Amino acid sequence: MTGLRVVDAGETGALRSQALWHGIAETMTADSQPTLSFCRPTEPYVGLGYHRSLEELDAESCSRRALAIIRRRIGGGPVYIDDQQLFFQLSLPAAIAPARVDLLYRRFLGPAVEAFRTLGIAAELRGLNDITVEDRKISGTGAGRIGDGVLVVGNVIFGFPHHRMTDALAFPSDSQAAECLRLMRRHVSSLRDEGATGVTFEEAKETLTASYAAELDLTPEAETTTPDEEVAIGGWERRFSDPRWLAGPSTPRRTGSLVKISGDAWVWSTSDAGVSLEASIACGRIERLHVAGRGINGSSQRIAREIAGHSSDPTRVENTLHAHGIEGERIARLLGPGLRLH
Amino acid sequence: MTAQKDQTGGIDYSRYFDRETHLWVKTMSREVVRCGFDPLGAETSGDIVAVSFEPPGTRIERGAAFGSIEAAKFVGPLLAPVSGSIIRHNHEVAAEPGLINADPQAHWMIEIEPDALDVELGELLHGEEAVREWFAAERKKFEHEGLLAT
Repeated sequence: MTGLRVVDAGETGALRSQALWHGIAETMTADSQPTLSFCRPTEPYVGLGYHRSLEELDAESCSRRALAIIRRRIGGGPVYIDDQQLFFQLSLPAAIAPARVDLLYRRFLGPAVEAFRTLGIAAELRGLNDITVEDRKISGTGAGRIGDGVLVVGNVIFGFPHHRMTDALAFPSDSQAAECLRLMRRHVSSLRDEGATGVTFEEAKETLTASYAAELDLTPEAETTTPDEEVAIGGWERRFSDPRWLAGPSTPRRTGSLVKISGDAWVWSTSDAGVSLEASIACGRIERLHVAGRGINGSSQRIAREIAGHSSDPTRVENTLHAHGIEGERIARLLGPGLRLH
Repeated sequence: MTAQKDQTGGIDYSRYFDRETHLWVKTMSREVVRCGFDPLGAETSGDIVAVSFEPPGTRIERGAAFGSIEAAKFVGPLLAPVSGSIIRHNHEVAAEPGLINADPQAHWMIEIEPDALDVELGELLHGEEAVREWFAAERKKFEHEGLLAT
């Protein structure tokens, strides 16, 4: 094997922008060449991770904005997608992919990080799979296995309309939506926001191709999709259009609502017995904590103020809360799952 | 049957093991087997955040997907170690997937009514000596590949 197959699908519709790489991965065999694919959707839509609930989305808002919702076969949460995002996918035979997910990301997101650096962005791999500039996410990533193919996917965000993303999400309150937007503006960046306004889509593709070819020690070979891949892509387009696929797999209903902005920034809301709690956590700190509802008195609000602005380490937070007796324990029960989900 | 457990890795040698997928099979009766991850399978999966299963009644072939697993935004199929019909899922595991990481042998994922138990059990690894040797070799291989902490 000497070649890295490069399939540039160019500008595509929403369905094909997802079906393309699902189909390429599905037709992989043990002998297949690694394939780097690119696409850029011309119509905005919302992508949803395989195990995530449709309830995380504001269906009415998506419908009003004519945003299709497409459930992908890889993980992660809901994402707003438009033509200011260039998507890249590396598909390779499962037999040659690292069997552990952190190693898979380290090996195959590393070239993307290098490509960002070549484009003038001081990117780094943060945590398992966030490509960031300091604490700002510059690329959404994910991975999965479809058939005998393993995929690592990501995007180059040229510009990101944070408000359109939050408009597509369901929140229990306007204040939590505003808090999410605030954190998203701070922790989701783009080439434009980082000052790299001169980078073109072609330049990004060329740089990613060179970087992945170097990592795999393969020569890039521009190709188009094969007839077998087109059949598989068509199958995925039909599946994505099927309401049963969109409904997703049956998974238990979770209590509370968590919107993850990056590996270390998220907002959490939950309620129980007439008491609601909203929290935002970023970079190891509880930035905002609001408790309201039946029986909530000045004592609870004082405790919430004491917690906000300090470490989000679950053990430390719970120790502090338990020292406040019944009121503290009530807050701990509501806040605890929102600290531990990560 | 009394479970025979290895002191270090917690392997229950009375079970059958699929070498490809690192899933165990436990025969509850002639009509019911349970499946779950062995400790190496759970460890190399990463922190599991979601599992989903095909509905009860679904017929699956050995090697076909009976569900999906998600860890760190990676979604992969769960491949059946035996053919048969899915009887039920472990709802506790579906609600709290991290239990698989915490104690994979105590937390089964699905029960299957097997089609060809005698034939397919023969394709799985069984017996203390064979399992012990395989598990030690797999652990060594995974450590060599950097898949496990040494």
